[in-house]
Amino acid sequence: MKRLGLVYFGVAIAGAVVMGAGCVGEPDPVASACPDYVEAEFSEVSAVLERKCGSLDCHGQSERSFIVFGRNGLRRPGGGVNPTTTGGGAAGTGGGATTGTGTLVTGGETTTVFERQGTYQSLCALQPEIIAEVVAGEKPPTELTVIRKASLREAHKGGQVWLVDSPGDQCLQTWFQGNLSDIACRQTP
Amino acid sequence: MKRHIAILLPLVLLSCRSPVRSEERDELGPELPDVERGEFHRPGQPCLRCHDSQGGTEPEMVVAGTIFATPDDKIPVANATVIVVDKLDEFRNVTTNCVGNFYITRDEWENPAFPLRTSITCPDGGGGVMDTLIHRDGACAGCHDGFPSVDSPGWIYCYDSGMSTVTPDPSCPGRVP
Repeated sequence: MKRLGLVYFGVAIAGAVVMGAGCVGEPDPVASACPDYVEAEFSEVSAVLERKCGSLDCHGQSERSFIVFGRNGLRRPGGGVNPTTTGGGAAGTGGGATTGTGTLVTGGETTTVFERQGTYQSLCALQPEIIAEVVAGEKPPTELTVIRKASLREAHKGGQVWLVDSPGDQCLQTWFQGNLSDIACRQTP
Repeated sequence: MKRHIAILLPLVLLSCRSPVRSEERDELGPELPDVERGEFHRPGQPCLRCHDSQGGTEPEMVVAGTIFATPDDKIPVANATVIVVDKLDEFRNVTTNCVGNFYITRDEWENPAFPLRTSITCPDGGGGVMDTLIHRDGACAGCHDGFPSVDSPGWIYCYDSGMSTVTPDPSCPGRVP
């Protein structure tokens, strides 16, 4: 009986060791497989995403998997903006901020670095495994849902944002490949 | 067998309704007891939650909203003109009623091509052009909801704070809650 108890104890210890080993070498849950965040580069990409995807009725919503922050839509709560700024939006479009609340609204201050970083984190969290393979050159960027949906290679409730191989398509693809075409980004209407 | 079908059929039909849409509609709350359903009801609410192809309430609308006096005052503005232009440069003009509501029905514009651009002209000739495009939600209050915040530009208004002389029309069949 005592011997059986020892066996159980041994099995439990072995199990704990195996399970513990399973956690060793797990990827860092915060690390990103995306191209590194380089402000000068991602600001070009962000400008396109803000313009084409980031309105409040599309990806400018905090409930979406892919969230785009920026001056044309959702502002990122928690900092990166001047809390005393009073925006000067035109009559009829709801411009202006509630002074002292620390919030900004559409038409106010330009998109902040903090907001671009939020968009970057959201973009990179969409399909981290496939993004890693794209960044490593093992798969084409057209495997990514974000590329596929925008060009309607895959169904997209928001419709076709741009055509296959158009400047917008190239802007995003080249960023994932690590050789951003800022010209393509700037040519995106 | 017939009895089973009679029980199951309503269940099957109910299961086809979107729980998300039902929740959205529930969040809008009840009707005001002194306002009849119609063009003067529920100012400031996202009309297309009920009046779109999935909402099932007639008339079906493609764009609809409400215009108020200032960002702080929910006083309805009547006789403001809203111009909506689609991707193909087709456009529609519509005027707000006494409770500030305006709407374009599916019969009036069968298939506007998104994205849409829009502008308003207030009764005194002022107004503005919306900075951003409307990509898919024709319910203005879907985004223009409440006071300005991180996720809303605030309701649509005509005048800056303290600059309005608009007063509600007491004979209007609708009112703002």
